[in-house]
Amino acid sequence: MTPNVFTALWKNIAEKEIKRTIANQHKIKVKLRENEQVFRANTHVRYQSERCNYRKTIGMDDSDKLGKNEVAASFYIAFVKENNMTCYSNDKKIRDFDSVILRDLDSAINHETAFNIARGILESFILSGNEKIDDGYRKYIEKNGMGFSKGIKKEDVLKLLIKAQNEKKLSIYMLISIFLWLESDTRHCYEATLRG
Amino acid sequence: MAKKTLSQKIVELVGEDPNSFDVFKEQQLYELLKPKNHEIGIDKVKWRPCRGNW
Repeated sequence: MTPNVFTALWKNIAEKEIKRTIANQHKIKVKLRENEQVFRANTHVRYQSERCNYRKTIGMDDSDKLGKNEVAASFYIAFVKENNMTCYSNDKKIRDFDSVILRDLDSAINHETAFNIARGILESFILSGNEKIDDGYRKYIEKNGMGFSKGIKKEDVLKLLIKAQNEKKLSIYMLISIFLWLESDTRHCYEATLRG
Repeated sequence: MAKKTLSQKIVELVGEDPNSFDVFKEQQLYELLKPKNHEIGIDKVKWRPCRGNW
C-alpha cells in the first residue's frame, strides 16, 4: 500500500476510531504510548511486513491484489502488535488495581479499536463500488454497517483474538476467517430484512 | 454430472500420497484456493469509519 493510500486510510478511519476511543473513557483514560505520527508510520511499516509475508507464504503472483479481508487482517495485526493505546487513571482506587487488570484493559482497548478499524476497511471496500454487489446490500451496509447476527458477542470474539496474541498465535488467516464469517453473517441479516 | 465441491477438488489434487505433492500441484492448489478477487483496487477505495455499534 503506497504511503498516500495508507495516509488516507489512517486519516479517514484509524485516526477517527482512536479519537473516539480516547474521548469515550471517563475514570479510566486512554492515551497513545507513541505520538500519533510515529504510531502511524510504524503501523505502516508493520502493515507492509505482514502483507509481504502473507504474499510470500501463499505464493501470490506480483499481479495478484490483496482482497479486502487480507487488507483488513494485515492492518489489524499491524495495529495491535505493540498495544500502543494504554489505559491510565487519576483515580487512586483504580491505580491501585492489580497491574494485570490494567494490562488486560490495554489489550481490550487496542483490539476493540482495531476491530472497528477493520470493519471500516471492509465496509469502505464494499461501498466504493463493485458491480458484483447488489444495490440493496450496499445500502444496507451504508446504513447499518457490518455486524454479526444476534447471539454473537463482540467480547467473545475480541477475547479470542487477545488470547491468540498473548500466545503469539494471532495470524492473518484467523482474522481473514473471522472477517469472512462477519461478512456472511451480515449478508444473512440483510436477507432476513428482505423476508420481513 | 454433479459439480465437484472445493474439498473434492483438493482431495483429487493432493491425492492420497503426500509425497506426490510436487511444485506443480502446489501451484494448482494455490489457484484453487486463492480468493476470486472481485475487489475494487485499493487506490480507488473511499475510506470511511465503520457504521453501527456492534
